[in-house]
Amino acid sequence: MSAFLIDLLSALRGNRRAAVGGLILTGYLLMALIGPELIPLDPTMRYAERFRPPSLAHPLGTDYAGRDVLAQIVHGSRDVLAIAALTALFTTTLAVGIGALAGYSGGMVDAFLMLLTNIQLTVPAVPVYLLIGSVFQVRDPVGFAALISLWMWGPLARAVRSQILSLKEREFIEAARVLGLGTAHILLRELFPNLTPFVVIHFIRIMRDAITASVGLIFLGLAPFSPTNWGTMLNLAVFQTGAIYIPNALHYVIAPMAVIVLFQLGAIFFAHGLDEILNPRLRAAA
Amino acid sequence: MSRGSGMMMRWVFTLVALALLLSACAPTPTPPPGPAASPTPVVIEKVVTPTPAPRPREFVLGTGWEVPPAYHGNPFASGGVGGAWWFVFQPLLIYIPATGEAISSLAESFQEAPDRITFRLRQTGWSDGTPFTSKDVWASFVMMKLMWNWPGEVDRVETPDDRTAVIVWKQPLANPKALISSAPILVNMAAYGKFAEEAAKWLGQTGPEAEEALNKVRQEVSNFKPEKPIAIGPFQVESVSASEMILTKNPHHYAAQKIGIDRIRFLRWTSNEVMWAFHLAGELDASHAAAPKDVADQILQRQPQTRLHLVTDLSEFALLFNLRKAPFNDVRFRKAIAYLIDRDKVREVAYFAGLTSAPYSHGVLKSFEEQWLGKDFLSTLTAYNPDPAKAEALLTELGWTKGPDGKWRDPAGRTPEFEILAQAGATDWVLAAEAIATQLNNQGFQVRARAVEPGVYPTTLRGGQFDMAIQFGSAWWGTAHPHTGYGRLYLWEAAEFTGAKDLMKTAKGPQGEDVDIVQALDNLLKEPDLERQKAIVRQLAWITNENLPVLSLLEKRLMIFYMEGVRVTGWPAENDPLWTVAPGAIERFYAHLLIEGVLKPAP
Amino acid sequence: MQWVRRVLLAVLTIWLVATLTFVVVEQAPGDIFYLMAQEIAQARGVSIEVAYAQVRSMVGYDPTRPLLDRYLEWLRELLRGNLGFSYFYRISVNQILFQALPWTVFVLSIALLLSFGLGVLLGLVIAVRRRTWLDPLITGYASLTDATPDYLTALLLLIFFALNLKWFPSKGAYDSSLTPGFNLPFILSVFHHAALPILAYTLENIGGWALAMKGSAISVLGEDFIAFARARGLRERRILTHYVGRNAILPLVTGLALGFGGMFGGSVLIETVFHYPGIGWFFKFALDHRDYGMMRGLLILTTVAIVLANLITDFIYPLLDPRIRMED
Repeated sequence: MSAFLIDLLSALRGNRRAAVGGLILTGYLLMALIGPELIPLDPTMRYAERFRPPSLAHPLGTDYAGRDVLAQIVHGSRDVLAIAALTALFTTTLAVGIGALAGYSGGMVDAFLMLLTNIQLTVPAVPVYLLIGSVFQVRDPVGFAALISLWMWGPLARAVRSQILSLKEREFIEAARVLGLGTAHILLRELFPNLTPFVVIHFIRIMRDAITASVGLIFLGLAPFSPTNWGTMLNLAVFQTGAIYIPNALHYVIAPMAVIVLFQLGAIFFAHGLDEILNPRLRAAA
Repeated sequence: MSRGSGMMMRWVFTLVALALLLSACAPTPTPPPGPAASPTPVVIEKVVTPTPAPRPREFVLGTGWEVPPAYHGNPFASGGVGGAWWFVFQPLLIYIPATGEAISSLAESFQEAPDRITFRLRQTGWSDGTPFTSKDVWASFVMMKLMWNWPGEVDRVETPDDRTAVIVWKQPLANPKALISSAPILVNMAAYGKFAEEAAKWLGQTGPEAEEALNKVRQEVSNFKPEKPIAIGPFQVESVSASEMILTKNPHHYAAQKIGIDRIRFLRWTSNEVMWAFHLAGELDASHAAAPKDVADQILQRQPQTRLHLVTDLSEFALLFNLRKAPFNDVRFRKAIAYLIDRDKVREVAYFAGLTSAPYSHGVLKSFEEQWLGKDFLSTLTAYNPDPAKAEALLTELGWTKGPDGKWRDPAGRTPEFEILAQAGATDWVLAAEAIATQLNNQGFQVRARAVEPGVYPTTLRGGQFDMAIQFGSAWWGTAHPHTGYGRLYLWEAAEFTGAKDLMKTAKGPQGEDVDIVQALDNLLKEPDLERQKAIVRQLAWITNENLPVLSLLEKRLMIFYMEGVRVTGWPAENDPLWTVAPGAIERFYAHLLIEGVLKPAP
Repeated sequence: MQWVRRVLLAVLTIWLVATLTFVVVEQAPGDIFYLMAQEIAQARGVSIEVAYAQVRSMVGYDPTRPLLDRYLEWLRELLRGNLGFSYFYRISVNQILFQALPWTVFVLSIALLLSFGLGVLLGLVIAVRRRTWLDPLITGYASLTDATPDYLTALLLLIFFALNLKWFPSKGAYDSSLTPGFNLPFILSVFHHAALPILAYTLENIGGWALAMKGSAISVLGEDFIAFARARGLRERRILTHYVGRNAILPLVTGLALGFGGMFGGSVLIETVFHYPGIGWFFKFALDHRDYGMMRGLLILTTVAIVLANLITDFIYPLLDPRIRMED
């Protein structure tokens, strides 16, 4: 695994797009990890100072209750990224598990799991999230991540399955099987390492989709009140405090939008660059 | 190859054709509309001619109603009437909370006696052409009793002649006129007489036979679904669609000549922010969509003919304490919390149009406190202005200590965490919870606001699974009388939430006397003399302020946006007490202005 | 045989989704009628207790029936095409559908065809002219729209073009003062109101179609028959339209058909931002009022539409492309 990381880093240097993407993502990671320590969040409401435009004291202005928007963005990043990372973790685990099991076992197990995968791919996600999320009342990042993972594993599971199918036919697996090594050994020692690069790229894509989905759902008003989540900020701006109708409150709407888009761009660049690095065929084509 | 391409082109063509076909049926330009054809109004009686004739003199409002085909005109069955309620139905009299007076409405005059009110009915007619008689009053009250088990205070309705109706109470009432004002005449004998007569035979009896018979009638009533309501009020329902409801004048109404407006057009009120957009575009004549200050300013600025009037909603937002649970079961702790909260700051963020209840929390709505309690009495009450020193003294007395980290520790040395619950989706409540949590955190407590699903919120509170919560405290809906407010705090919903129903049956009065609260409330309900009512209210106010089952935050005020001189003109002056008719039933207020000819079409 | 299997699979999918949604909705917490009681209390000026009694007498829902009974009835009704019952509106979901679906289909079909047409055109151009400024521009645009969730695009359009510049209305499907019908002001108003939702959806999707078309066209360009056509001396323009374009578009048709299927779910977020009364808007409404019945019905509708679109594509695709056989 560490060898893989070192390879990755050296390859990143050669790929500008991946490097830029990686830099952006690192920035977000730092914001979530140490940002809240650097920029304290003062929740005291100062009504007279509401919707102040950006200034030195408040680089992104103030919100409907006179609180610093930048501090909210920074503190919210922890919530947003935690949901994204957990979702990616759950989804990847689920997808690799299902995909590997289906691909490796074949037969009825495969048919059943592929039926499930098909259903997941067929039924659109947002309505499913809204229905399940409102019935079961998610209220923390773990629950939220679980909810989103529930309807996001399909594409990766299908891809893992076909990877496994093609790997299964390779000589080294045949050899391992002839040597009498157990299924678990073959899966864990021989098959999974070959999937790693592929899974890493998907991990980033899933984080990206998880942010789109989670912020969107909170924006719609599904999730509980977590005051600094970017989705909550958007929800408050659009539906509750009427900020979109107030010309001098525009910064309050634009700030969370900008950080979301920037994160997405970073993730796209990074994933795309990785794809080129790890997938020699693409590199040649591009 | 060429074969494949040809097929493909055909396939794309088919898709395009399909799409065009689908989109063509979308805005549905194809007349005449079937009952289920979408956005065209589902016309109930006659097809609206699509030619835009000279525009009728309109009054445009926002409200909610059932989407056709669920819509129908039976006020007692599922889906009935909707926001047209106070235009198609009308009460015998209208009670004005600000003055305590009642003005005649469907009754041209009335006489009060301790146990009854005698009404002289107007000569007017239902929209189906039948004349209005005292039997209709009787039928309406029987039907309300049958279907809603309300109003329990009414013993019977007597009908000495066609134009005289007498409502007899079970016992003398504190404020009978408000009750009559909130119970409009709903049904006539012609359509509902058969149900009312059958129900009257069994109402008041007990036992399985009566129960079965009553349930049978209830079932029949529920299944009765005339297309539209039979109106006794000034307007009748003309057409209903998903996006609009149109009312036209009831030609048999006594004021039909006097009403200058030809029709009322209701836009669908889906959420407050849609109403803001309507106001910003100048498409709405009046609504009471609560808006943050800046949005209100935008509306007033962009539509200069829009005005904003604030009037009590007859309710207050309050911080409910869980009296079953330590440390909230100790009144000194509740008082300490009260001293730590700056309620005016909470109002600014949560509901800027409200009236801060500070410095008291006596259960009488802020705008009525002088009327009911008087300045002299108020000055004898404990005032809870933000005062950390007083809070500290109380907490220290309870054995709490402030640690070196500035956090409060309970007598056992722990730093407890508290939650303030609010109903998810009710932004004003959630913001209030947030604001209070922030203030308490700054004072050394660890408090978190949490939003709870609307469906489980009341059960969570009833079950006592909370520390503090935001809900309505005192609320005088329907009666505009403090009895209703104290009933809510000590007997009904709020009492079940806080636990006061079981835990505060008695309390010490201002002179140290023991007060049986249930008994006091009963006395208040039956007391016809205003001065003696005030004496009881003062006693309860003192008890409430000293015991703080809830901490009143602010009196909710309706924000009525209205346009003067665009489509209608003649709105009452700012200080007109008539505005206080609006809370709880704002359309009753609009309807009254139209009936009296106060509100006229703009020239 | 293959066809039978696919149809069975489609039916199985719908049944599973119907069952799962039934189970989920059965878990709905608390008292769904409390919100209605709160509203009635304030609209009619009565106490919560009285309002609650009124609501209970109005709603004929009986939670005491056995679970299996309700499940079987739910399936029976579904088979009859009845998508269930909205707790809030107290009418069947189908009736809500009749009102909402035309608007959704109107906006999304126009937007889908517009973005598909423009995207395919741009994709073809950049596939052929790979070294021009257009290629990085469109690729960059595609990345940017890919990075911007559709609701943010919609929100930006709303803020700038509706609320600030006031070029377009900010809510609804037509001007509330007009009489719906076949008259010019009304039709113009409908298009005026649909413009921003269509634009939001189109802007969001052009880039994706362009990239897909580019990829597809590049692989077609590498095939022998193109070289053969060039060798035959056919004009470049003819080669592009007749040979490259037609073949490269084939794989995209699947996506287009799926897009039409997905259309029936509406776009919850876009329709919510513009208060556009389509399926997605009703979904948000159902969420706000915790109308699980309506959510469930709309979810099943969407599923059925997509499953059907899948099925149709499966059947038609081999007809389009002789190289593919169902038996594969």
